[in-house]
Amino acid sequence: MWKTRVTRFLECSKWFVGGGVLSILFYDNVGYVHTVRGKSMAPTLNPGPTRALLREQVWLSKLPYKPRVGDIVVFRSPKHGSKLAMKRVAAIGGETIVPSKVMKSGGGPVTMKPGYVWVELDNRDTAGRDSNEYGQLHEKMIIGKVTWLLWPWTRIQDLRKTQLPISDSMIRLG
Amino acid sequence: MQSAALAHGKKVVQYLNQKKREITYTVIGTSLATFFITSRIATTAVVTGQSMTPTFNKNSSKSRVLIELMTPVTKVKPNDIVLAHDPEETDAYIVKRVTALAGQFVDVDENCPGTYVRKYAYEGKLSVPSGYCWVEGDNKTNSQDSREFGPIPLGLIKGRVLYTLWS
Repeated sequence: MWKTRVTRFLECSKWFVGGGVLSILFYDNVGYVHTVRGKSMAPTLNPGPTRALLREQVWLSKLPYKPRVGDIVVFRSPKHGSKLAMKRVAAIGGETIVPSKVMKSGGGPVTMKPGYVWVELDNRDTAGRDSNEYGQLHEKMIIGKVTWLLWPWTRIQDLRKTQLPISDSMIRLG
Repeated sequence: MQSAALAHGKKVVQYLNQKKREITYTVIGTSLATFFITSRIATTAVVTGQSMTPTFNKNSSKSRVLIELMTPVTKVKPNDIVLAHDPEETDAYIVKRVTALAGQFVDVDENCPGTYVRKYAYEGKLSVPSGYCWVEGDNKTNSQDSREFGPIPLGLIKGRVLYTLWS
């Protein structure tokens, strides 16, 4: 009697397991909805209050790609291995820039090593961490690219068209 | 008599089609399951080079090892052997042993200090910054590791190497 129950349980559970595996594969390789914490990317993202339910949601694409200048990327934080951070790519391997902190406090231009990028926050008024603090970021720390702002609906937009804020605080030397 | 043969023939075709479907589903299902397992749970890799002798490649030029991908990077401990992205070459990987974690100190190896060690060591020691770890090959005389390129961020670690399958 219990044998048929066990068989039927296994028959049903294979759908759950299959669905779970497919969801995880999608999450790992296609993308998912990611919550924006903090105001480091304001006013593009989270220009308003950032308490729990008010945070904006974006689509994080995990399709394979190469970082380009202007992309908003999510990456593993070099300061806390397990946490994720979201900033904008300001320079890619081979380029030379004079980063923001140098403009403020001296130092020289920085040339990106191949396979490394420089990330900066959009919102100069925040105390956020970016490459000005932890230096060049290894490309493989990037886990995905932010493509669309999904929530709130009133602000839906294609974020791939947004760019580095025009600023007097960083110069690209080519 | 002819229609009986025809009916039988149709049944055979139906049966074969069903088997074809079953085989296709099995192939797709197995491929997805394999992809899932090798990207999230465990996978194998070939270790080449002599930087980890005698632990790996003592008597060979390459060995296949088993790697587990499930440990979160915060649980990596000293003496774990890890597979990580190569800090010097984007698409390459390195297999090294973790010798120090963030907040710990590394003693300078008098015999083979590397570029990074020579530049940043102070009074014979180096500290590992938060979010990073220090990795070294077991073969100290023939290994490009943290002594050369400095500590690596934990985020570059993909998994821990468990043991050699064959060499």
